[in-house]
Amino acid sequence: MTAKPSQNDPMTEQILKHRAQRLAKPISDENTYVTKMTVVKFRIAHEIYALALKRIRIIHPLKSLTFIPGTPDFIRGVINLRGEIISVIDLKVFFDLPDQEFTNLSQVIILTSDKMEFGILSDEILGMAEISKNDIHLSLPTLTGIRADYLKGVTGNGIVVLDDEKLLTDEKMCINL
Amino acid sequence: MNNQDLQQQLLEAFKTESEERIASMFLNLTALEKSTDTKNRDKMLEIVYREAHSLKGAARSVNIIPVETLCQEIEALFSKLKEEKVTFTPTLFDTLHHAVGVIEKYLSTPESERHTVEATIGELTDTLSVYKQPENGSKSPGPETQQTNETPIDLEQNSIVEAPAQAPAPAHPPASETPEIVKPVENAGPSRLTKKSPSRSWFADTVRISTAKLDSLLLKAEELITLKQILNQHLNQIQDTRNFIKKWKKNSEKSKKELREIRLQLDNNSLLDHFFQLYDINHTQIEETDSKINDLSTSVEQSNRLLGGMVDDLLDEMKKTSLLPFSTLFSILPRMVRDIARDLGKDVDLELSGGDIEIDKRILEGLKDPLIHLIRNAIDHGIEMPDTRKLKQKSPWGKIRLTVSQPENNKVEITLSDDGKGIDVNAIRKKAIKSGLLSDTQADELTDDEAISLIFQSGISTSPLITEISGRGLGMAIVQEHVENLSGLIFISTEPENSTTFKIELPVSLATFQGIIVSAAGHDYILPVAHIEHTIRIDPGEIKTVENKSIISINGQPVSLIALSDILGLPHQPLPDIKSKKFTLLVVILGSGEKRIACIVDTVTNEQDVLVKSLGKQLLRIPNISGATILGNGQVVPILNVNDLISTSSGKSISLAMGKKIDMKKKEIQKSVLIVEDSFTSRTLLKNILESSNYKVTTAIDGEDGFQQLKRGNYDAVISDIEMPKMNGFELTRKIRETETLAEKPVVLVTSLDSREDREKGIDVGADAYIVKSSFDQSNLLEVLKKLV
Repeated sequence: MTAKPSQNDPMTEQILKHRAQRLAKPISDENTYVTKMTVVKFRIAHEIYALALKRIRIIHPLKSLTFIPGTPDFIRGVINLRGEIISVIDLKVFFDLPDQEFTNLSQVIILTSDKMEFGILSDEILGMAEISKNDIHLSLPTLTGIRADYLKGVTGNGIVVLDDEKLLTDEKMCINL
Repeated sequence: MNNQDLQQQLLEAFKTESEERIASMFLNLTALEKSTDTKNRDKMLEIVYREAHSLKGAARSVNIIPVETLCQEIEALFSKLKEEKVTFTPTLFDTLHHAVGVIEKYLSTPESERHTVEATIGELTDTLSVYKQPENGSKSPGPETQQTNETPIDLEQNSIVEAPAQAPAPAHPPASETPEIVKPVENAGPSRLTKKSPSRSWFADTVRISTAKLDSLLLKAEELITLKQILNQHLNQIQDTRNFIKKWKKNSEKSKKELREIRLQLDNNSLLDHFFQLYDINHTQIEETDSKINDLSTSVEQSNRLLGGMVDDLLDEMKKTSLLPFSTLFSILPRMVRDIARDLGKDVDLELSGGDIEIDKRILEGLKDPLIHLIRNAIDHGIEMPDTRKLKQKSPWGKIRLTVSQPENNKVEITLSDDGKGIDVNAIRKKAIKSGLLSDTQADELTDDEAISLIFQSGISTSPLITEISGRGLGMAIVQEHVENLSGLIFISTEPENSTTFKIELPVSLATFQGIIVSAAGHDYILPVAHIEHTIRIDPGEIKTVENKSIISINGQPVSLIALSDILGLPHQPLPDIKSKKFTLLVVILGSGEKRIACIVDTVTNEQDVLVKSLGKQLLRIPNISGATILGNGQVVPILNVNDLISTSSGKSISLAMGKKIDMKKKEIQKSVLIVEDSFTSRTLLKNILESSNYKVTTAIDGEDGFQQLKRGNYDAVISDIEMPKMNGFELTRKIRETETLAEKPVVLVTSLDSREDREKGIDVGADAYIVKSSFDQSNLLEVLKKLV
């Protein structure tokens, strides 16, 4: 606390650098948004889902879908997003859920990260909402099965909150045949 | 012979490289001198050390010995510094800076005057080697004992201060500043030097950009093609609308006339008048709309043309930036030809032309391997031994000519010819019969041209002996595949005893390719034209069924027929009933390398330019699909991968004959090999390699032992060393060939003897393959063995 450290002192620089790096870490849900997170709510068949806003690149109406043979069933095809080709998935099929015939997929929610990008098909976009983290419950008996791995939980009023990071990093999502 | 040109090119490359390395050495040396942090020091030291090492290697490859020697010393000194056997002193730094400066100076001096700098280099080399001595008490060796060098070193310091200031700037400082670096060195040099320094030419007039950046720019420019196509589509829509309105207007005018006539018949109906008024207003509006849409259509058309032109220009320029001259590929060839030729005891002259013709970097890269393979083939199989050539009254020096030309703006033609013995068409016929590819009668029916193109089939080689260079017969199939993957075509022609010529046609740029749209089970797909042999309509009656597989005959050859929808696993579409005679099937004959299939499709549309796009981050690899393209109307169409289609289709037929396959596999496991080798280590190594590849291995310790074992047991092949006690490999091979029961046994000689005489002796005694240990790797041996047994 006495003398000012010299500007060129490599040790000091190192310490400062480390500190800066530590502080410059991306904000993670767990630490900061303890109370609320912004989500996009959408409907697939009879269920309302929610996805955190930060991994959503764009929401686009589904115009035409090109089927790609040889892909797993949950890959419904590819779309042309302003000259870029993006694959789209059907969560109902991916989660192996019943009542698939009730869907009328018309909107694509594009999820993106550095390494992965795909669209999630939905029937209807219901708008944005703030969800309190405390309101997300983990252990609901209805959430067993494959789907449970990809959920953050279910809110009090029955919205299924998807885990965007898990979806984006899951091995099953990466098709390399 | 433009050997000199090539040397010049190599020197150019070396210039750029040395320039960068020198800059980096200066920069890091200075930083090293200033730095106090040991960790950083080590890092910088490592960099300078590596730079010196690389520069040494580069200098050696262009044969600039003084630089090589000096770098060697610098490198050695750095290595001592790294091991902390020598400590840093200011004078040491001075000497090092001086040394780097002298290298720079030497390289920027015209060749004819370089000898004046050589003296300095010699002295420096000595000084550095003194530094290098392990510290025997003396902490500051060198300069004190080398009085003569004191002066130049001190003077050199002027330049040291400036050099680092230069170095951080990109690799090419402005030419006007360069004399500042050079001048002090000039003064420093003990020898007198002429003032004129060619430093201007030393720094090239180019900028280096990472290829990744360039590629991404090129891709972005290519994306504009899609935009162009979309706009075209919009223009069409507008024109459609315009036509529609025109028709409307015409109809309206017609009705107007009719209405007028009606009015003439019924006079004075005010209600009708009112209607007429309304109608007139309506008609005027139609006319206005018509004129507006006409204007719009015209202006969109103009903008469209303008944009189209700009996009094309931009793309053209972008493509040009990724073009490289053939000379970059040529530069490696002369030496390679010389080495191979010398290795085989042949004399070969390589003649290159058209090195200034430019082609897409990606194509040039893809072309390297096939071209090298063709040249090796030409030397190994084409060009005869000097003695033989003399007998044939040819010049003892064989000639290989590689010519690149550009017959059309976007097409490049490569011709590779040798004046060797040509290809023996009948030998190919025999080989094809022997390998079961053709029946005797089929072989006779082939024209010479057709027979020659059989060399593109795998398993056909006219070389009697397998060596590591050639003779395995896989090469040409691979060459063809490579060329076709680059959307190119390859042709061959030969004149017995005179020449063999390969002609390769390639596009200048890879960005787009020609494709046709086909449809199957209601979906559209793109097939690259390069892989389509032709499209035909066939009568279902022509389809034959062999072992559950459908086959049609194309030019007398059976080709298996399969529906595209079946290959892709789309909803099944049964072949139509053979009895319905009127019905014909649309069939596309696809070829990749030697393999062909006939593919049933529903429709085929015209050729068009196709821009390949990836399927996005999620779909990394999908069988049968290589990417997708976006059509003018925005529709995404998958592009089919013909290689995959062919292997998928054969995979499907294998599944039918599964039982048979399994039997064969069992047999394969039981293939047994006898290894004859006197060295325990080599024996164990070979045994391990083969056993891990499912061979049953027995060993023998010398030729005699081997021969006895062969008589007793039943082996599929023999792998033998050459130099062995009692009976060597040559004798063993000869004995095997002389013994009736063993005469057909495949013999592979594995040896450290790499001489032409031995190789020839290998042929004489009847070995099937000859593998040199120095170039010996597992895959080589296994590949050879697989081919023989």
